[in-house]
Amino acid sequence: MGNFFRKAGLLLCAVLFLLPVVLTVLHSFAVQKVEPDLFYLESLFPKKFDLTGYYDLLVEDSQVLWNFWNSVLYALVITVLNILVSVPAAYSFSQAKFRWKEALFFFYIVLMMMPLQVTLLPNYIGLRDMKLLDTPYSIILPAVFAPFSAFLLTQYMNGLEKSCLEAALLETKSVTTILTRIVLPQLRPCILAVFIFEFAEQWNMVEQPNIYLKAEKWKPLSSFLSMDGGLTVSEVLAGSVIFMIPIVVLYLYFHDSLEVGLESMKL
Amino acid sequence: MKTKKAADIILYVFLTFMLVFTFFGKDLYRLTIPKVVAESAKRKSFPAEVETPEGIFQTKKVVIAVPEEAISDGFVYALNESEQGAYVTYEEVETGKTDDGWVEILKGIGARKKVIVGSDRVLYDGREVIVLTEQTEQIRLYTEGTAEEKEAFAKKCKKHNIQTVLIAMLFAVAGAVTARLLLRKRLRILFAPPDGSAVSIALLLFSGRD
Repeated sequence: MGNFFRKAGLLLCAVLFLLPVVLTVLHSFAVQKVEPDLFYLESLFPKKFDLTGYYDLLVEDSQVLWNFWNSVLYALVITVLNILVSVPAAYSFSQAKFRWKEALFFFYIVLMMMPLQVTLLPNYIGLRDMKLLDTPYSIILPAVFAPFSAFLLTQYMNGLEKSCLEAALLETKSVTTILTRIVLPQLRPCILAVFIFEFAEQWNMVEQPNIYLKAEKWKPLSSFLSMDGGLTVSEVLAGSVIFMIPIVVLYLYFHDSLEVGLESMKL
Repeated sequence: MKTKKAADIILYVFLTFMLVFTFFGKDLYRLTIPKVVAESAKRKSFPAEVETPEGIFQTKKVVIAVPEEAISDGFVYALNESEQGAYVTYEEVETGKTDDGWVEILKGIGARKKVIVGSDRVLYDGREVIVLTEQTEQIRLYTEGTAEEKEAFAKKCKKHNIQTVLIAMLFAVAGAVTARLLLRKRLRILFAPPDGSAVSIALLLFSGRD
């Protein structure tokens, strides 16, 4: 009996979590009679289906496609550069011995815990003074140095076999060699997990493009969908489905690595 | 393994479609834009009657007139051209006499305003149009043809549009599949869709697409 209730509870949770996604997909194919900007659904489950939302979004309004490719560009470039920056940083925090290391790491974590809204204004002022506002660099540069990946990688590196690194130190004194030949191969599951986290984070960003970018041509899809005005319910929902697909595919590809990575990071 | 195969298929189809729409979306859209012929509203001399104590006399008066084909149930589609393109707007008009294929406009639009006299598709307020300088056979059929002719023509247009879109999609998917077969290694998957689309683009360019 207890088993039945547990299963029923889990099923209810699954339905509650999946319902918005299912409704989004269903209504993106629904015939909507409502006017643009009036965001309500005529019924919970649509009665008639067509492809008007997708047609309007992909064929009639080509701007959304450029916004999609902007999203792909930002998410990929930021994620790759962030990992490139984070791996040496994490190696230093984990293996190097220097004064104030603990204090520096503490401040690093504090920076990570800060809400995004706190750093938006200083970033805005910095970007404005560097004349980078309204360019893709205003989105890419601040995100490349985000501390979250370095924190995760540090946690993972702390768990690496010390003896292995000590043996490597007997062979060579080059940090680059140890990092590339010994540490990086062991970091693979963690890097994949970080890649997924970081990609999802950048894919979903809304505040930064809305504040740093004015030109529509540079905005990512997340920003386009959050705009109020000019879009019908079907268009917004069709855009949401398109927005969901890359993240779902990414998870399908790397979910094994993600689980291994999270387990090894003890998260 | 099944999950990864499903992810492969979703990624390929999705990226291929996005690339096709990115490169050919505008072409596909242009297929559905109505092609129209417009004529300016003109000041024309219309027959008029003047009533005097001696009787009724036939005379002429200058009025604003549009071609008969432009009027439909008390409204016309006016043409608005700008740098962004040409759009039609729905304008209600009050009509008077008809003379030699022209209709007198009592109220609604001014002289020199361009109105639509022929279209190969259904128009609605705010629709983008492509303005042709001369009447084509398609527009003549749609504007002057009988109900059966119009219906047959609309069906033919729709079939042609669907065929074009399907051919484009078919080439795109074929390109993606070819790329997938050529590049089997997992790491190269990320680079396969653009190659696939390049193949499809090349095929489309050489397929005599209008």
